[in-house]
Amino acid sequence: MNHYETIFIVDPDTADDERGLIIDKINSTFSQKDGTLLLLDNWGVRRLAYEIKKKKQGRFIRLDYCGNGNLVDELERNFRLDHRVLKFMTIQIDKDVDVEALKAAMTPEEPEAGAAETAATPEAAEETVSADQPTAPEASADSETETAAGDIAQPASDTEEQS
Amino acid sequence: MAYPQKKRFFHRRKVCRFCADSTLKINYKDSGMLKYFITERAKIIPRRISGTCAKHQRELAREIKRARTIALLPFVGTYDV
Repeated sequence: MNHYETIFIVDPDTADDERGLIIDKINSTFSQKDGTLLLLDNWGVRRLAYEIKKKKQGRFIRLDYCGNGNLVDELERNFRLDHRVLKFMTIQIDKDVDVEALKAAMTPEEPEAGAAETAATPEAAEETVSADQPTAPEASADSETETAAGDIAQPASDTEEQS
Repeated sequence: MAYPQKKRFFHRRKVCRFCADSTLKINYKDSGMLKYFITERAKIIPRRISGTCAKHQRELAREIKRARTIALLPFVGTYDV
């Protein structure tokens, strides 16, 4: 079983019950293809960075789950068929994970993908090791880099707003 | 004159922000943070400018491209934003 994360964007004009149908469909796919849905995260309606099918806004929903490749294929096939889904993206977070360990890591703390990653993967363990290395942060130089980057990156907080 | 005419630049020591602060995670979902590393035209800022180390620049580029795919960041920015 692999650990995946899928984000899909639903047309913001769809009614709540219609969106419920999409989620029901996802749940039935999970039971069919033997997957475990760890988290269904609704981000609400956000502004899109670019128009998709003439829509400027979209409702973002994130799925965090474990399953095999055929589950991902089936989910994506359904997304492709459904005209209410504007766009989707699946990312493999980790290979060959222990589902129970992930579930346990999810429940006590806030359900965050990053937290789950740290809990169960050898790759993430390596990451924490490198993170522990004492790096000497040069405060002055650091702030200078920030201003340099900040000058160029003007358009902030546009897509951030949620409604 | 004691010193010959020489180009004397003031070199700032650039530090990779992700090495300096290990709590910072590069993740495509955090589009607010990624915005610091793209230009107004939504190009990825090269590491010779931003000072990011090679390892983190690779991660950064990957996450920016992921964010673009799912419409969290633009592929092309607008001129007047």
